[in-house]
Amino acid sequence: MRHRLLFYSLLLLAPFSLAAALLSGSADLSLAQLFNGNGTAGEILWQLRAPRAASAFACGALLALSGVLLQVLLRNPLADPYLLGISGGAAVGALGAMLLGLAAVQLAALGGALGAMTLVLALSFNRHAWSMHHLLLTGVALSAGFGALISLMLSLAPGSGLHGMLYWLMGDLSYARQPGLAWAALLATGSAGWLLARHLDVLAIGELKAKSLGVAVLPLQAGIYLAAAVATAAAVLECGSIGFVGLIVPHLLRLLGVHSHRWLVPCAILLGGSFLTLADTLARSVIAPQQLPAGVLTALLGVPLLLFLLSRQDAKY
Amino acid sequence: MLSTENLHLEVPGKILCQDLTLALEAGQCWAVLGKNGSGKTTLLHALSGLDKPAAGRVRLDGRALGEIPRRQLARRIGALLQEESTAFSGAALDYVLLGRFPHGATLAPNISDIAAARRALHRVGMGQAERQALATLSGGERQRVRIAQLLAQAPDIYFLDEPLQHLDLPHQLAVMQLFRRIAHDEGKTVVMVLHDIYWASRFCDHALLIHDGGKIVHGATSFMITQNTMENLYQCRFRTVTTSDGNYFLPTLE
Repeated sequence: MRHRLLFYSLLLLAPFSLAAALLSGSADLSLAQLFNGNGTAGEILWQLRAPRAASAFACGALLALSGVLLQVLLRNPLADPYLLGISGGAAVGALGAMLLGLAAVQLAALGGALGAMTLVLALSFNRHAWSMHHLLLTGVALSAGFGALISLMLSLAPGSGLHGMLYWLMGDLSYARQPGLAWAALLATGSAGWLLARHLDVLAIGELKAKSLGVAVLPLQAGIYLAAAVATAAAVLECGSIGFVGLIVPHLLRLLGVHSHRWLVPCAILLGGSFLTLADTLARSVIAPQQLPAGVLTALLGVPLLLFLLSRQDAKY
Repeated sequence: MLSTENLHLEVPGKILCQDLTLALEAGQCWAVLGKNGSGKTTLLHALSGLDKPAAGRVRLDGRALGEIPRRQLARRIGALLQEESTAFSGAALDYVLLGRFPHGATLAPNISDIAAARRALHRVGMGQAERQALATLSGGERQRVRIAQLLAQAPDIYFLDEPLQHLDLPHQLAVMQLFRRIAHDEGKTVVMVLHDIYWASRFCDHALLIHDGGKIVHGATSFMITQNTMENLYQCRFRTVTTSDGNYFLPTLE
Protein backbone atom coordinates (compact mmCIF):
# COMPACT_ATOMS: atom_id res chain seq x y z
CA MET A 1 0.00 0.00 0.00
CA ARG A 2 1.23 3.38 -1.02
CA HIS A 3 0.63 5.34 2.19
CA ARG A 4 2.14 2.55 4.27
CA LEU A 5 5.33 2.74 2.22
CA LEU A 6 5.38 6.49 2.57
CA PHE A 7 4.89 6.20 6.33
CA TYR A 8 7.86 3.83 6.70
CA SER A 9 10.06 6.03 4.52
CA LEU A 10 9.19 8.99 6.74
CA LEU A 11 9.92 6.87 9.77
CA LEU A 12 13.45 6.45 8.37
CA LEU A 13 13.75 10.10 7.41
CA ALA A 14 13.17 11.24 11.01
CA PRO A 15 16.33 9.68 12.61
CA PHE A 16 18.29 10.65 9.50
CA SER A 17 17.32 14.31 9.89
CA LEU A 18 18.15 14.25 13.59
CA ALA A 19 21.54 12.65 12.89
CA ALA A 20 22.27 15.27 10.25
CA ALA A 21 21.42 17.99 12.76
CA LEU A 22 23.77 16.49 15.37
CA LEU A 23 26.66 15.98 12.95
CA SER A 24 26.74 19.25 11.10
CA GLY A 25 27.62 22.71 12.28
CA SER A 26 30.47 25.17 12.39
CA ALA A 27 32.62 22.89 14.53
CA ASP A 28 33.48 19.71 12.63
CA LEU A 29 32.85 16.75 14.84
CA SER A 30 33.20 13.17 13.75
CA LEU A 31 30.91 10.36 14.88
CA ALA A 32 33.57 8.97 17.18
CA GLN A 33 34.19 12.34 18.84
CA LEU A 34 30.51 12.80 19.41
CA PHE A 35 29.94 9.49 21.10
CA ASN A 36 32.99 9.25 23.31
CA GLY A 37 32.85 12.99 23.51
CA ASN A 38 33.56 14.68 26.71
CA GLY A 39 34.85 18.21 27.05
CA THR A 40 34.10 20.60 24.21
CA ALA A 41 32.75 18.06 21.78
CA GLY A 42 30.33 16.64 24.32
CA GLU A 43 29.29 20.09 25.35
CA ILE A 44 28.59 21.20 21.79
CA LEU A 45 26.63 18.04 21.19
CA TRP A 46 24.55 17.79 24.33
CA GLN A 47 24.22 21.47 25.31
CA LEU A 48 23.79 23.00 21.86
CA ARG A 49 22.99 20.68 19.01
CA ALA A 50 20.85 18.00 20.65
CA PRO A 51 18.35 20.33 22.34
CA ARG A 52 18.16 22.49 19.20
CA ALA A 53 17.51 19.46 16.98
CA ALA A 54 14.92 18.16 19.43
CA SER A 55 13.20 21.57 19.44
CA ALA A 56 13.25 21.83 15.68
CA PHE A 57 11.74 18.37 15.26
CA ALA A 58 8.99 18.94 17.81
CA CYS A 59 8.10 22.39 16.45
CA GLY A 60 7.96 21.24 12.83
CA ALA A 61 5.79 18.30 13.86
CA LEU A 62 3.48 20.55 15.90
CA LEU A 63 3.05 23.06 13.07
CA ALA A 64 2.30 20.37 10.49
CA LEU A 65 -0.18 18.69 12.85
CA SER A 66 -1.85 22.01 13.55
CA GLY A 67 -2.14 22.62 9.80
CA VAL A 68 -3.81 19.23 9.27
CA LEU A 69 -6.27 19.87 12.10
CA LEU A 70 -7.17 23.40 11.00
CA GLN A 71 -7.65 22.40 7.38
CA VAL A 72 -10.32 19.95 8.56
CA LEU A 73 -11.86 22.28 11.11
CA LEU A 74 -12.19 25.25 8.77
CA ARG A 75 -12.70 23.08 5.67
CA ASN A 76 -10.35 25.40 3.89
CA PRO A 77 -7.22 24.22 2.10
CA LEU A 78 -5.50 27.54 2.84
CA ALA A 79 -5.84 27.15 6.59
CA ASP A 80 -2.52 27.21 8.41
CA PRO A 81 -1.51 27.53 12.07
CA TYR A 82 -1.10 31.29 11.78
CA LEU A 83 -4.57 31.95 10.44
CA LEU A 84 -6.18 32.04 13.85
CA GLY A 85 -4.06 34.87 15.20
CA ILE A 86 -2.38 32.71 17.85
CA SER A 87 1.13 33.34 16.57
CA GLY A 88 0.27 37.01 16.03
CA GLY A 89 -0.78 37.26 19.66
CA ALA A 90 2.38 35.49 20.79
CA ALA A 91 4.50 37.81 18.64
CA VAL A 92 2.80 40.90 20.07
CA GLY A 93 3.51 39.59 23.57
CA ALA A 94 7.13 38.70 22.83
CA LEU A 95 7.94 41.92 20.97
CA GLY A 96 6.18 43.98 23.61
CA ALA A 97 8.37 42.39 26.27
CA MET A 98 11.50 43.00 24.18
CA LEU A 99 10.48 46.62 23.60
CA LEU A 100 9.98 47.19 27.32
CA GLY A 101 13.24 45.44 28.08
CA LEU A 102 11.61 42.68 30.10
CA ALA A 103 13.46 39.41 30.51
CA ALA A 104 10.35 37.23 30.47
CA VAL A 105 9.93 37.21 26.68
CA GLN A 106 8.66 33.60 26.59
CA LEU A 107 6.16 34.25 29.33
CA ALA A 108 4.87 37.34 27.51
CA ALA A 109 4.58 35.29 24.31
CA LEU A 110 2.61 32.64 26.18
CA GLY A 111 0.32 35.36 27.55
CA GLY A 112 -0.15 36.77 24.04
CA ALA A 113 -0.92 33.33 22.58
CA LEU A 114 -3.46 32.52 25.30
CA GLY A 115 -5.02 35.97 24.97
CA ALA A 116 -5.40 35.59 21.22
CA MET A 117 -6.84 32.07 21.58
CA THR A 118 -9.48 33.29 24.01
CA LEU A 119 -10.27 36.39 21.97
CA VAL A 120 -10.77 34.46 18.72
CA LEU A 121 -12.93 31.92 20.48
CA ALA A 122 -15.08 34.52 22.23
CA LEU A 123 -15.56 36.65 19.12
CA SER A 124 -16.39 33.72 16.84
CA PHE A 125 -19.42 32.68 18.88
CA ASN A 126 -22.52 34.39 17.62
CA ARG A 127 -25.50 33.88 19.86
CA HIS A 128 -25.69 30.10 20.40
CA ALA A 129 -23.93 28.90 17.32
CA TRP A 130 -20.23 28.49 16.64
CA SER A 131 -19.71 28.94 12.96
CA MET A 132 -16.45 27.89 11.36
CA HIS A 133 -16.94 30.64 8.82
CA HIS A 134 -17.01 33.16 11.66
CA LEU A 135 -13.99 31.54 13.26
CA LEU A 136 -12.00 31.82 10.04
CA LEU A 137 -12.91 35.47 9.44
CA THR A 138 -12.33 36.41 13.08
CA GLY A 139 -8.90 34.78 12.96
CA VAL A 140 -7.97 36.53 9.73
CA ALA A 141 -9.15 39.91 11.04
CA LEU A 142 -7.31 39.53 14.35
CA SER A 143 -4.14 38.37 12.56
CA ALA A 144 -4.24 41.53 10.47
CA GLY A 145 -4.70 43.59 13.62
CA PHE A 146 -1.75 41.88 15.32
CA GLY A 147 0.29 42.44 12.15
CA ALA A 148 -0.33 46.17 12.45
CA LEU A 149 0.64 46.14 16.13
CA ILE A 150 3.83 44.26 15.27
CA SER A 151 4.74 46.83 12.61
CA LEU A 152 4.04 49.61 15.11
CA MET A 153 6.37 48.04 17.67
CA LEU A 154 9.08 47.46 15.07
CA SER A 155 8.91 51.12 14.06
CA LEU A 156 9.18 52.22 17.69
CA ALA A 157 12.01 49.83 18.56
CA PRO A 158 15.53 51.16 19.04
CA GLY A 159 18.02 49.98 16.40
CA SER A 160 19.84 47.70 18.81
CA GLY A 161 16.73 45.64 19.59
CA LEU A 162 15.50 45.37 16.04
CA HIS A 163 17.63 42.39 15.00
CA GLY A 164 16.36 40.17 17.81
CA MET A 165 12.77 41.12 17.07
CA LEU A 166 13.06 40.40 13.36
CA TYR A 167 14.65 37.02 14.04
CA TRP A 168 11.86 36.16 16.46
CA LEU A 169 9.29 37.04 13.81
CA MET A 170 11.00 35.08 11.04
CA GLY A 171 11.25 32.01 13.19
CA ASP A 172 14.56 31.26 14.79
CA LEU A 173 15.80 28.28 16.69
CA SER A 174 19.06 29.69 18.10
CA TYR A 175 17.50 30.23 21.49
CA ALA A 176 15.53 27.00 21.52
CA ARG A 177 16.92 25.17 24.52
CA GLN A 178 13.93 23.64 26.27
CA PRO A 179 12.32 21.13 23.95
CA GLY A 180 10.46 19.52 26.87
CA LEU A 181 7.32 21.64 26.60
CA ALA A 182 7.10 21.26 22.82
CA TRP A 183 7.52 17.46 23.09
CA ALA A 184 4.87 17.24 25.79
CA ALA A 185 2.48 19.25 23.60
CA LEU A 186 3.34 17.04 20.63
CA LEU A 187 2.67 13.87 22.58
CA ALA A 188 -0.70 15.16 23.78
CA THR A 189 -1.99 16.72 20.55
CA GLY A 190 -0.47 14.06 18.28
CA SER A 191 -2.09 11.16 20.11
CA ALA A 192 -5.40 13.05 20.30
CA GLY A 193 -5.21 13.69 16.55
CA TRP A 194 -4.47 10.05 15.80
CA LEU A 195 -7.20 8.71 18.08
CA LEU A 196 -9.71 11.08 16.45
CA ALA A 197 -8.52 10.27 12.92
CA ARG A 198 -11.77 8.66 11.81
CA HIS A 199 -13.80 11.49 13.33
CA LEU A 200 -11.65 13.91 11.33
CA ASP A 201 -12.31 11.93 8.13
CA VAL A 202 -16.04 12.17 8.71
CA LEU A 203 -16.01 15.85 9.72
CA ALA A 204 -14.06 16.66 6.55
CA ILE A 205 -17.05 15.74 4.35
CA GLY A 206 -19.30 18.33 5.99
CA GLU A 207 -20.70 19.27 9.39
CA LEU A 208 -24.27 18.19 8.67
CA LYS A 209 -23.27 14.87 7.10
CA ALA A 210 -20.92 14.21 10.04
CA LYS A 211 -23.82 14.87 12.40
CA SER A 212 -26.05 12.44 10.54
CA LEU A 213 -23.28 9.82 10.71
CA GLY A 214 -23.21 10.10 14.49
CA VAL A 215 -20.45 12.62 15.22
CA ALA A 216 -21.04 15.03 18.10
CA VAL A 217 -19.94 17.93 15.93
CA LEU A 218 -19.63 20.82 18.36
CA PRO A 219 -17.53 19.02 21.01
CA LEU A 220 -15.34 17.61 18.23
CA GLN A 221 -14.80 21.05 16.71
CA ALA A 222 -14.00 22.51 20.12
CA GLY A 223 -11.49 19.69 20.72
CA ILE A 224 -9.83 20.20 17.33
CA TYR A 225 -9.58 23.94 17.94
CA LEU A 226 -8.04 23.39 21.34
CA ALA A 227 -5.52 20.84 20.03
CA ALA A 228 -4.55 23.05 17.08
CA ALA A 229 -4.21 26.10 19.33
CA VAL A 230 -2.06 24.25 21.88
CA ALA A 231 0.13 22.82 19.11
CA THR A 232 0.60 26.23 17.48
CA ALA A 233 1.26 28.02 20.77
CA ALA A 234 3.81 25.41 21.90
CA ALA A 235 5.67 25.65 18.58
CA VAL A 236 5.63 29.45 18.43
CA LEU A 237 6.86 29.77 22.02
CA GLU A 238 9.84 27.56 21.26
CA CYS A 239 10.88 28.89 17.89
CA GLY A 240 8.93 31.99 16.87
CA SER A 241 6.74 32.19 13.78
CA ILE A 242 8.15 29.64 11.38
CA GLY A 243 6.09 29.85 8.25
CA PHE A 244 4.99 27.40 5.55
CA VAL A 245 5.50 24.13 7.46
CA GLY A 246 1.87 24.04 8.59
CA LEU A 247 0.53 24.89 5.17
CA ILE A 248 2.89 22.93 2.96
CA VAL A 249 3.42 19.63 4.78
CA PRO A 250 -0.26 18.52 4.80
CA HIS A 251 -0.62 19.44 1.13
CA LEU A 252 2.59 17.66 0.17
CA LEU A 253 1.25 14.51 1.78
CA ARG A 254 -2.16 14.81 0.11
CA LEU A 255 -0.42 15.30 -3.24
CA LEU A 256 1.49 12.09 -2.51
CA GLY A 257 -1.84 10.31 -2.06
CA VAL A 258 -2.35 10.31 1.72
CA HIS A 259 -5.97 11.22 2.43
CA SER A 260 -7.15 9.24 5.45
CA HIS A 261 -6.25 10.98 8.72
CA ARG A 262 -5.15 7.67 10.21
CA TRP A 263 -2.10 8.07 7.96
CA LEU A 264 -2.13 11.82 7.43
CA VAL A 265 -1.69 12.67 11.12
CA PRO A 266 1.40 10.49 11.80
CA CYS A 267 2.92 11.25 8.38
CA ALA A 268 2.49 15.00 8.93
CA ILE A 269 4.16 14.72 12.34
CA LEU A 270 7.14 12.84 10.88
CA LEU A 271 7.49 14.94 7.74
CA GLY A 272 6.97 18.27 9.52
CA GLY A 273 9.53 17.36 12.18
CA SER A 274 12.14 16.10 9.71
CA PHE A 275 11.54 19.04 7.38
CA LEU A 276 12.13 21.70 10.02
CA THR A 277 15.11 19.82 11.49
CA LEU A 278 16.77 19.66 8.06
CA ALA A 279 15.86 23.27 7.27
CA ASP A 280 17.37 24.44 10.54
CA THR A 281 20.50 22.34 9.98
CA LEU A 282 20.91 24.02 6.60
CA ALA A 283 20.11 27.41 8.13
CA ARG A 284 23.06 27.15 10.46
CA SER A 285 25.51 25.51 8.08
CA VAL A 286 25.13 27.06 4.59
CA ILE A 287 26.94 30.26 5.46
CA ALA A 288 28.39 29.15 8.82
CA PRO A 289 29.30 30.58 11.26
CA GLN A 290 26.61 33.06 10.23
CA GLN A 291 23.10 31.65 10.95
CA LEU A 292 19.99 32.19 8.90
CA PRO A 293 16.50 32.17 10.40
CA ALA A 294 15.04 28.67 9.88
CA GLY A 295 11.70 30.18 8.78
CA VAL A 296 13.37 31.57 5.67
CA LEU A 297 14.77 28.15 4.76
CA THR A 298 11.45 26.34 5.24
CA ALA A 299 9.86 28.68 2.72
CA LEU A 300 12.78 28.60 0.29
CA LEU A 301 12.74 24.77 0.30
CA GLY A 302 9.07 24.14 0.74
CA VAL A 303 7.56 26.46 -1.83
CA PRO A 304 9.40 25.06 -4.90
CA LEU A 305 8.80 21.49 -3.68
CA LEU A 306 5.06 22.06 -3.37
CA LEU A 307 4.84 23.89 -6.70
CA PHE A 308 6.74 21.06 -8.40
CA LEU A 309 4.40 18.38 -7.03
CA LEU A 310 1.36 20.51 -7.84
CA SER A 311 2.41 20.95 -11.46
CA ARG A 312 2.90 17.18 -11.87
CA GLN A 313 -0.52 16.39 -10.42
CA ASP A 314 -3.68 15.94 -12.50
CA ALA A 315 -6.03 18.85 -12.41
CA LYS A 316 -8.39 16.93 -10.13
CA TYR A 317 -6.48 17.27 -6.84
CA MET B 1 -41.46 3.53 14.58
CA LEU B 2 -40.90 7.29 14.12
CA SER B 3 -43.63 9.63 15.24
CA THR B 4 -44.17 13.35 15.69
CA GLU B 5 -46.45 15.22 18.06
CA ASN B 6 -47.57 18.74 17.18
CA LEU B 7 -44.37 19.36 15.25
CA HIS B 8 -43.88 23.02 14.43
CA LEU B 9 -41.12 24.30 12.14
CA GLU B 10 -40.31 27.81 11.05
CA VAL B 11 -37.60 29.94 9.54
CA PRO B 12 -37.51 33.71 10.16
CA GLY B 13 -40.70 35.19 8.69
CA LYS B 14 -42.18 31.90 7.51
CA ILE B 15 -44.00 28.95 9.05
CA LEU B 16 -42.99 25.71 7.32
CA CYS B 17 -44.88 23.13 9.33
CA GLN B 18 -47.84 23.53 11.65
CA ASP B 19 -48.92 21.01 14.22
CA LEU B 20 -47.86 17.95 12.30
CA THR B 21 -48.78 14.63 13.83
CA LEU B 22 -47.35 11.79 11.82
CA ALA B 23 -46.38 8.15 12.28
CA LEU B 24 -43.87 6.41 10.01
CA GLU B 25 -43.90 2.63 10.10
CA ALA B 26 -41.58 -0.11 8.90
CA GLY B 27 -42.13 -1.18 5.30
CA GLN B 28 -43.50 2.20 4.19
CA CYS B 29 -42.15 4.25 1.32
CA TRP B 30 -43.05 7.95 1.56
CA ALA B 31 -42.86 10.79 -0.93
CA VAL B 32 -42.57 14.38 0.32
CA LEU B 33 -43.88 16.89 -2.20
CA GLY B 34 -44.08 20.66 -2.15
CA LYS B 35 -43.00 23.78 -3.99
CA ASN B 36 -39.48 25.23 -3.75
CA GLY B 37 -38.96 26.78 -0.34
CA SER B 38 -42.00 25.05 1.17
CA GLY B 39 -39.89 23.39 3.87
CA LYS B 40 -39.27 19.87 2.58
CA THR B 41 -35.60 19.87 3.57
CA THR B 42 -36.29 21.54 6.92
CA LEU B 43 -38.87 18.85 7.68
CA LEU B 44 -36.42 16.10 6.73
CA HIS B 45 -33.73 17.61 8.98
CA ALA B 46 -36.16 17.79 11.91
CA LEU B 47 -37.39 14.21 11.39
CA SER B 48 -33.85 12.86 11.16
CA GLY B 49 -32.70 14.73 14.27
CA LEU B 50 -30.30 17.09 12.53
CA ASP B 51 -32.21 20.19 13.65
CA LYS B 52 -34.30 20.92 16.71
CA PRO B 53 -37.92 21.78 15.90
CA ALA B 54 -39.31 25.16 17.02
CA ALA B 55 -41.96 23.26 18.97
CA GLY B 56 -43.24 19.73 19.32
CA ARG B 57 -41.37 16.47 19.41
CA VAL B 58 -40.03 13.70 17.21
CA ARG B 59 -39.88 10.27 18.84
CA LEU B 60 -38.13 7.10 17.75
CA ASP B 61 -39.80 4.05 19.35
CA GLY B 62 -41.16 6.39 21.99
CA ARG B 63 -37.88 8.12 22.86
CA ALA B 64 -37.35 11.78 21.97
CA LEU B 65 -34.58 12.11 19.34
CA GLY B 66 -32.62 14.57 21.51
CA GLU B 67 -32.26 11.93 24.25
CA ILE B 68 -30.64 9.34 22.00
CA PRO B 69 -26.82 9.45 21.74
CA ARG B 70 -25.74 10.58 18.24
CA ARG B 71 -23.89 7.41 17.26
CA GLN B 72 -26.75 5.22 18.40
CA LEU B 73 -29.20 7.43 16.49
CA ALA B 74 -27.02 7.16 13.35
CA ARG B 75 -27.42 3.38 13.44
CA ARG B 76 -31.23 3.84 13.25
CA ILE B 77 -31.68 6.95 11.10
CA GLY B 78 -29.67 7.85 7.98
CA ALA B 79 -29.96 10.82 5.66
CA LEU B 80 -28.94 11.55 2.10
CA LEU B 81 -28.42 15.30 2.16
CA GLN B 82 -28.88 17.70 -0.69
CA GLU B 83 -25.58 19.52 -0.31
CA GLU B 84 -22.80 18.16 -2.46
CA SER B 85 -19.56 17.38 -0.67
CA THR B 86 -16.68 18.35 -2.95
CA ALA B 87 -13.93 18.43 -0.35
CA PHE B 88 -13.29 14.68 -0.30
CA SER B 89 -10.03 13.85 -2.05
CA GLY B 90 -9.89 10.07 -1.57
CA ALA B 91 -11.26 7.08 -3.48
CA ALA B 92 -14.94 6.18 -3.87
CA LEU B 93 -14.60 3.15 -1.57
CA ASP B 94 -13.05 5.31 1.18
CA TYR B 95 -15.97 7.69 0.88
CA VAL B 96 -18.51 4.87 1.21
CA LEU B 97 -16.55 3.47 4.19
CA LEU B 98 -17.28 6.67 6.12
CA GLY B 99 -20.89 5.43 6.18
CA ARG B 100 -19.70 2.67 8.54
CA PHE B 101 -18.64 5.25 11.14
CA PRO B 102 -21.61 4.66 13.48
CA HIS B 103 -20.90 0.91 13.55
CA GLY B 104 -18.17 -0.89 15.44
CA ALA B 105 -14.57 0.21 15.59
CA THR B 106 -13.66 3.87 15.78
CA LEU B 107 -10.00 3.73 14.79
CA ALA B 108 -10.06 1.98 11.45
CA PRO B 109 -12.69 0.21 9.34
CA ASN B 110 -12.55 -3.57 9.74
CA ILE B 111 -13.07 -6.35 7.20
CA SER B 112 -16.85 -6.48 7.60
CA ASP B 113 -17.02 -2.69 7.11
CA ILE B 114 -15.09 -3.02 3.86
CA ALA B 115 -17.35 -5.88 2.72
CA ALA B 116 -20.45 -3.80 3.50
CA ALA B 117 -19.04 -0.81 1.61
CA ARG B 118 -18.23 -2.97 -1.44
CA ARG B 119 -21.74 -4.45 -1.38
CA ALA B 120 -23.23 -0.97 -1.21
CA LEU B 121 -21.19 0.20 -4.21
CA HIS B 122 -22.35 -2.84 -6.19
CA ARG B 123 -25.98 -2.14 -5.34
CA VAL B 124 -25.78 1.25 -7.07
CA GLY B 125 -23.77 -0.18 -9.97
CA MET B 126 -20.52 1.55 -9.01
CA GLY B 127 -18.54 -1.54 -7.96
CA GLN B 128 -16.02 -1.08 -10.75
CA ALA B 129 -15.18 2.47 -9.59
CA GLU B 130 -14.13 1.73 -6.01
CA ARG B 131 -10.50 2.78 -6.52
CA GLN B 132 -11.33 5.93 -8.50
CA ALA B 133 -11.00 9.31 -6.82
CA LEU B 134 -14.44 10.65 -5.97
CA ALA B 135 -13.56 14.00 -7.54
CA THR B 136 -12.93 12.39 -10.93
CA LEU B 137 -16.45 10.91 -11.14
CA SER B 138 -19.34 12.63 -12.91
CA GLY B 139 -22.16 14.29 -10.99
CA GLY B 140 -24.49 11.34 -11.45
CA GLU B 141 -21.85 8.78 -10.52
CA ARG B 142 -20.99 10.81 -7.43
CA GLN B 143 -24.67 10.86 -6.48
CA ARG B 144 -24.74 7.05 -6.70
CA VAL B 145 -21.62 6.82 -4.51
CA ARG B 146 -23.32 9.10 -1.97
CA ILE B 147 -26.33 6.77 -2.02
CA ALA B 148 -23.93 3.84 -1.51
CA GLN B 149 -22.52 5.57 1.58
CA LEU B 150 -26.04 5.71 3.03
CA LEU B 151 -26.61 2.03 2.16
CA ALA B 152 -23.37 1.17 3.98
CA GLN B 153 -24.67 3.04 7.02
CA ALA B 154 -27.62 0.58 6.93
CA PRO B 155 -30.13 2.48 9.07
CA ASP B 156 -33.74 1.45 9.73
CA ILE B 157 -35.13 4.76 8.47
CA TYR B 158 -33.84 6.40 5.29
CA PHE B 159 -34.42 10.10 4.69
CA LEU B 160 -33.53 11.03 1.12
CA ASP B 161 -33.40 14.65 0.03
CA GLU B 162 -33.81 14.67 -3.76
CA PRO B 163 -32.17 11.26 -4.30
CA LEU B 164 -32.59 11.53 -8.08
CA GLN B 165 -30.58 14.70 -8.60
CA HIS B 166 -27.99 14.43 -11.42
CA LEU B 167 -29.21 10.94 -12.38
CA ASP B 168 -30.21 9.94 -15.92
CA LEU B 169 -33.62 8.29 -16.40
CA PRO B 170 -32.48 4.63 -16.24
CA HIS B 171 -30.60 5.36 -13.01
CA GLN B 172 -33.58 7.29 -11.61
CA LEU B 173 -35.62 4.16 -12.22
CA ALA B 174 -32.94 1.93 -10.66
CA VAL B 175 -32.71 4.10 -7.52
CA MET B 176 -36.51 4.22 -7.13
CA GLN B 177 -36.67 0.41 -7.48
CA LEU B 178 -33.82 0.00 -5.02
CA PHE B 179 -35.48 2.05 -2.31
CA ARG B 180 -38.89 0.50 -2.88
CA ARG B 181 -37.24 -2.88 -2.37
CA ILE B 182 -35.54 -1.63 0.78
CA ALA B 183 -38.94 -0.55 2.13
CA HIS B 184 -41.15 -3.41 0.95
CA ASP B 185 -38.78 -6.39 1.01
CA GLU B 186 -36.35 -5.43 3.79
CA GLY B 187 -38.94 -3.78 6.01
CA LYS B 188 -37.19 -0.43 6.34
CA THR B 189 -38.81 2.98 6.27
CA VAL B 190 -38.00 5.25 3.33
CA VAL B 191 -38.93 8.92 3.11
CA MET B 192 -37.90 10.85 0.02
CA VAL B 193 -38.25 14.41 -1.17
CA LEU B 194 -39.16 14.24 -4.86
CA HIS B 195 -39.98 16.72 -7.58
CA ASP B 196 -41.23 14.18 -10.08
CA ILE B 197 -44.87 13.36 -9.35
CA TYR B 198 -44.77 10.32 -11.61
CA TRP B 199 -42.03 8.58 -9.63
CA ALA B 200 -43.84 9.46 -6.41
CA SER B 201 -47.16 8.03 -7.55
CA ARG B 202 -45.65 4.93 -9.09
CA PHE B 203 -43.17 3.90 -6.36
CA CYS B 204 -44.34 5.39 -3.06
CA ASP B 205 -47.22 4.04 -1.00
CA HIS B 206 -47.61 7.19 1.10
CA ALA B 207 -47.29 10.88 0.28
CA LEU B 208 -46.91 14.00 2.39
CA LEU B 209 -47.83 17.33 0.83
CA ILE B 210 -46.51 20.62 2.22
CA HIS B 211 -48.74 23.57 1.33
CA ASP B 212 -48.03 27.27 1.79
CA GLY B 213 -48.22 28.36 5.41
CA GLY B 214 -47.01 25.01 6.69
CA LYS B 215 -50.31 23.16 6.24
CA ILE B 216 -49.39 19.52 5.76
CA VAL B 217 -51.62 16.70 4.60
CA HIS B 218 -50.56 13.09 4.28
CA GLY B 219 -51.96 9.68 3.50
CA ALA B 220 -52.00 6.88 0.95
CA THR B 221 -50.54 7.90 -2.41
CA SER B 222 -53.70 7.04 -4.37
CA PHE B 223 -55.64 9.61 -2.36
CA MET B 224 -52.90 12.19 -2.06
CA ILE B 225 -51.71 12.34 -5.66
CA THR B 226 -54.56 13.26 -8.00
CA GLN B 227 -54.86 15.96 -10.63
CA ASN B 228 -56.85 18.03 -8.15
CA THR B 229 -54.44 17.79 -5.21
CA MET B 230 -51.41 18.41 -7.43
CA GLU B 231 -52.96 21.53 -9.02
CA ASN B 232 -53.76 22.74 -5.53
CA LEU B 233 -50.25 22.01 -4.24
CA TYR B 234 -48.19 23.46 -7.09
CA GLN B 235 -50.74 26.13 -8.10
CA CYS B 236 -50.35 25.18 -11.71
CA ARG B 237 -52.70 23.47 -14.22
CA PHE B 238 -52.00 19.81 -15.05
CA ARG B 239 -53.18 17.45 -17.76
CA THR B 240 -53.44 13.78 -16.78
CA VAL B 241 -52.12 11.17 -19.19
CA THR B 242 -53.13 7.65 -18.21
CA THR B 243 -50.89 4.78 -19.28
CA SER B 244 -50.58 1.15 -18.26
CA ASP B 245 -47.67 2.24 -15.97
CA GLY B 246 -49.74 4.79 -14.09
CA ASN B 247 -50.75 8.40 -14.39
CA TYR B 248 -48.50 11.15 -15.69
CA PHE B 249 -49.28 14.73 -14.71
CA LEU B 250 -48.04 17.18 -17.29
CA PRO B 251 -48.11 20.91 -16.59
CA THR B 252 -50.16 22.74 -19.24
CA LEU B 253 -49.15 25.99 -20.81
CA GLU B 254 -52.03 28.38 -20.16
